[in-house]
Amino acid sequence: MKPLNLLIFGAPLLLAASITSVPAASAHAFPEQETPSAGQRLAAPPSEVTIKFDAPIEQLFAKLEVLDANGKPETIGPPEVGSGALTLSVKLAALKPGDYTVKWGVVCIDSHHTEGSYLFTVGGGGG
Amino acid sequence: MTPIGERAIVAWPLLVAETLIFGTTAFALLLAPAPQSKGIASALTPLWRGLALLAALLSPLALLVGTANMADVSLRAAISFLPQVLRETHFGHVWSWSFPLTLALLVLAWTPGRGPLKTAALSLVAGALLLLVSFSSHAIDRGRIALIVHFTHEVAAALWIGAILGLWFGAVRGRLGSGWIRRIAPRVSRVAGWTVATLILSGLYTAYYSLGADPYRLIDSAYGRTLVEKVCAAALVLLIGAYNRYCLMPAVSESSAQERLLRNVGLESLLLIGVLGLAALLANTPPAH
Repeated sequence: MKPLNLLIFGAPLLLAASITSVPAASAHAFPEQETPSAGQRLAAPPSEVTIKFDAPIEQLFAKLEVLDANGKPETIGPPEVGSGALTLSVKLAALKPGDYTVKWGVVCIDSHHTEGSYLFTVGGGGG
Repeated sequence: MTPIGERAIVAWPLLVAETLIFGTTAFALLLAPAPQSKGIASALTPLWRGLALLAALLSPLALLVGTANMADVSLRAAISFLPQVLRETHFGHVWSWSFPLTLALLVLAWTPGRGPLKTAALSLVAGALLLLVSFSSHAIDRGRIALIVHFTHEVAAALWIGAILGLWFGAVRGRLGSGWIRRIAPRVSRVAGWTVATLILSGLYTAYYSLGADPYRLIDSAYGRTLVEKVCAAALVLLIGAYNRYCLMPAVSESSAQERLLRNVGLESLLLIGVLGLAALLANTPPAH
């Protein structure tokens, strides 16, 4: 069969095949795993927050903040990119019981910026 | 305008410049018959010069817009981040390679001469620039195979557009005559067949890894909708190409068929430049997540 004929008759089949049974992948970095995770209620305060991304990220412009219910930062030092440029971590001060907001912003190595936030709770929560 | 829109609007003409120079130089080298190869190079030289100048002017702007997007600041504020971006980021490193190549493209394009050596040098530099586009694309996050597929997609697109535009330039601007069109048109048609088949296969791979298993992502996500628009626009070009191949090519010796063929080829070229705009938008849109 000639290429153009192959194309005309094969294209719909290929298109159908393309949208079935395929896992979503990265490009632009998004969190794959958070520690502590979003919505988690912890008995003891964590010493650090780590986010694992689904694509490599740049150290430059990486932001990771943990804020208490009043918006006060609870992090110690700048965030660090590690583990094959896939994780972003920051050390935490001794957290008191209460709700905390994690705010992150990263640049993937494809140069695209992504950001987001989530909550976790230490102790009984609601404080 | 959104940061994605800003980046796409700068990336589009850059992509057009690199793609068209690579595609049309490949056309001049591989498809145009030897006795008139200088004629086609003469017809295409103003295009190469204009596109090389456009690329050289826009390349620094692409760095600035990219930096502003990465730092999430205004263009003015982004200026102070430029040294750090060039030193510390993958995007900056790729730009450090691509800018000298863009300047080399400009110098080559404006150097007097029409010989095959100059055409080959332009082709080589434009090809290297396309490779660097792949190195700063979404594909870089997914590993070597994705990079190869992305570059293959770019090369196939460039050869397709280059063949169509080369035919139009040779016939309309170069006035290379009816016999030239008769000889070249079937070659362009064959190249179009193979390159489009390659584009579909490589495009499907990229769609596969960008959209996942959920077909609703074609509608629910900005990436999916842009992809659908791009595929529809490319399909329109394919329909015109199929009409050319099956209805006009058998009668390509007749002047009326040649006129219609050239009119259609001009339209196809314009549509494909539009498709490149959607490709630039897609390259800056987050895949469905």
